[in-house]
Amino acid sequence: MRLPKFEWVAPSSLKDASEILKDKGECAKLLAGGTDLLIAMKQRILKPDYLIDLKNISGLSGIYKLPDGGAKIGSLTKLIEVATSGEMKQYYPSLAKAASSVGSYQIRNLGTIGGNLCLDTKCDYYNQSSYWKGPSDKCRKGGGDRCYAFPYSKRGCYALLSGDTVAALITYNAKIRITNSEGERIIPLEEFYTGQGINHINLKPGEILSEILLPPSNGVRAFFLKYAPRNTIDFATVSIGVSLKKNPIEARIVVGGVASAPLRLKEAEELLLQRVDDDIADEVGKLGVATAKIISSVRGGVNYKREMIRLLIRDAVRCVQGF
Amino acid sequence: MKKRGWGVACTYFGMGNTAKPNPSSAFVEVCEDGSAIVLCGVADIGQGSDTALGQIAAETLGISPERVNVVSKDTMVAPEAGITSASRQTYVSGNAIRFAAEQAKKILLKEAAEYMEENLIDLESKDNRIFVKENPGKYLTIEEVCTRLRKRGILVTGTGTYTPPTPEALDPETGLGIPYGAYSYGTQIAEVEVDTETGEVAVLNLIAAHDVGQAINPMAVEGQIEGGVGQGVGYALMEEMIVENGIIQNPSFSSYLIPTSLDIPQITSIIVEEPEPTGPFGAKGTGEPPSCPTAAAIINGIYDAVGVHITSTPVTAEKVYKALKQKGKEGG
Amino acid sequence: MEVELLVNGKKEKIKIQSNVTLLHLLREELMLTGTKEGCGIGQCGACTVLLDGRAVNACLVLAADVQGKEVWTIEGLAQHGELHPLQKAFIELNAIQCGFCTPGMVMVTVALLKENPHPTLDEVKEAIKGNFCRCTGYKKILEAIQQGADEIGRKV
Repeated sequence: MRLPKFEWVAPSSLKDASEILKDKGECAKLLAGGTDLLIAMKQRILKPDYLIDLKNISGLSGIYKLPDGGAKIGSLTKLIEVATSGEMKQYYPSLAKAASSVGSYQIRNLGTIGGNLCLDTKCDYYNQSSYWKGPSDKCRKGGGDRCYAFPYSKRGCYALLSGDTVAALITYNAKIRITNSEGERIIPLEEFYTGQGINHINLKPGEILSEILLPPSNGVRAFFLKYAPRNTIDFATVSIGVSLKKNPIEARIVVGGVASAPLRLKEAEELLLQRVDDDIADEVGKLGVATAKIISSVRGGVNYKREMIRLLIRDAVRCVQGF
Repeated sequence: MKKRGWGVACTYFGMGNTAKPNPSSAFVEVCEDGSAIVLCGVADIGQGSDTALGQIAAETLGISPERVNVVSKDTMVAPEAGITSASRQTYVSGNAIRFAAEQAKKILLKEAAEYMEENLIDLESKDNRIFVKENPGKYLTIEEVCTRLRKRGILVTGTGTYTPPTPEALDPETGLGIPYGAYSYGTQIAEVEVDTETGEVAVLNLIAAHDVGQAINPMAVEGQIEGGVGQGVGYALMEEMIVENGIIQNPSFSSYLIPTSLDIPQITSIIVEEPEPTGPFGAKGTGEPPSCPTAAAIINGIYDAVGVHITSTPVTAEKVYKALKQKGKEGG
Repeated sequence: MEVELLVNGKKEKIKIQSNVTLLHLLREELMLTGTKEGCGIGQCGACTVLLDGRAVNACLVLAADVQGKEVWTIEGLAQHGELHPLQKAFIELNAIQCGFCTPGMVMVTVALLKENPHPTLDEVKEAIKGNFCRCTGYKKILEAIQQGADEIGRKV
């Protein structure tokens, strides 16, 4: 499969990258590991005129301890490094586990954690090649006004966000640094996602996700589970992150892979905080099944996904209990 | 909770194209240096036909296998050998090559008999020699025999052709007839583990016993059995072509799922050798049979484990989950 | 643009368009056709090569991104006419049928054994899960990897 023609630019600073990105707007895409973008380009789903390659920019990769006991991870850090880092395994084990569950050995050697957070939303129709789509009407994400996943919907796009590290990072209350040529802002990772299948991440023109910031994890017990058809290189049918934190006490239950943004299940979290005993796991699971639209896909029908969410939440809660 | 069960399934599978002639032909030449060339238009797609067919020629001629060169695939220089499919090449092309090699061998034996002043039936050809059966110390090397023949202007060649004995096409109305010349038989036993909550099925062990008549190359036969089982597991648990309005909805590896190294059970192959009378040295094919009973064995194993009978493939976790829920409702 | 890199220990300088992948550079510019294109989308692993010692899908790497890097392909494994222990094991144990997945299988194993010289069977299965094989059912491949690993362990 051939890539379409494009102009490749490799700026040496984040500032330059941001300026080019702002200047070219919709005609340009950022290139990190390429394990998501290049596939979409080969299928002619995306045909940017410019690829802004971030790999020549120093300082965007690496895992570092912070003075407050937390950690920062450069957005261009490869998933394999996050998965195998001693620091991650010791202090943020469920993030290491999530990173190790992405794709195959080869994909993890190329893919970056920033790329995983920015993974384009996916849908069984949108992600077919343009050759397959042929003359059919474009879906909303493709620039048309139909939705093949929800044919009766009047608006919106329901493509799924399936980056495996998202749920795990949110359970650790991660923040992200977003940089552009004028400055930067730091936001909680949850606020990065719009909840829409189109324009699913909150980035203004020229902005680039540059760093992930993790608060200290002492006092946090977190667990990540991924359920996928072959438990191998597949996108998750469902991914679950659960965490319990002491001082101040906090619970987080995050579901990924079933909507356009990760779902925080606040009611279930409250229940978990109230009672931390053996029976609760099952109840939390039941309550945790969200009412947000869950799209069925080749990876599972809606009701089955709901059941898997319930089971995985229950299993994850059992793991963080005894706390 | 995870529950385990065992399932058994059997298969019988016809060798060759169904109810129609599907011939193969071959040329064999024994060269002056005692090596041999086999020309047969068979396409080896990795299953090892070049090796096995070379072995058949070698065994027939009495030449060691490494001295037999197989020229295959190219029908510009070799006679047609039909399709590499229908589990037919070992059986059909094997016979063609055997007949060709026997023709060539007759020339060698006749010459050796004359020179050694022995009767033809008292001679045997093996390990690059033609020797007297009762007195192996009395022999000629095949090279010597060829050299002698060449001095008299005689080259050692043979031609062979074979089509399975399927004399009649199937009756167009009743479907009755004799579709195949030989059948391969097999039994597989699967040990499965079912997660009663998610419906996920893991195949832990798969024991596959297949009657191949005579294993020309046992390692290659094992490769076919193991590969067939791998495909059978995929067919059983994860492969599905989803077609809507004539268009395949899942044309990518990420949506049409095939087994990876983590999805394959522990495979034990048992080669059963019940000689096929019409096969070369009793051999028959084993390309397709191993992928046939696997799904049935797995599905029977699921029934043994959790008492639900799934009647369509692929047996996805979701199907098992729904069946278990239904069973629970019915109080089963 | 021009890209300069080491391929199997040899310096190569090639003129390419920006949309050329490492896979196409290897196969079409350098005629190293051992590395195969099975899917082009990073699923099947048939295009696995070592990039700076790491196993990657060459179909998802831009040629532009390998400037100054070191690539090893299946062609670079045999040294001084002698096959690599993994290659020998794959041949001896009939772990090769059609051969299409083989270069990728061997290269991903080379990468694995660099990091983990004595992997357990489960670790091997996990490492090669991104390399599809349709012919062999993986059994003989796993056996060949174990045998190759033992042989390499003995030589060291």
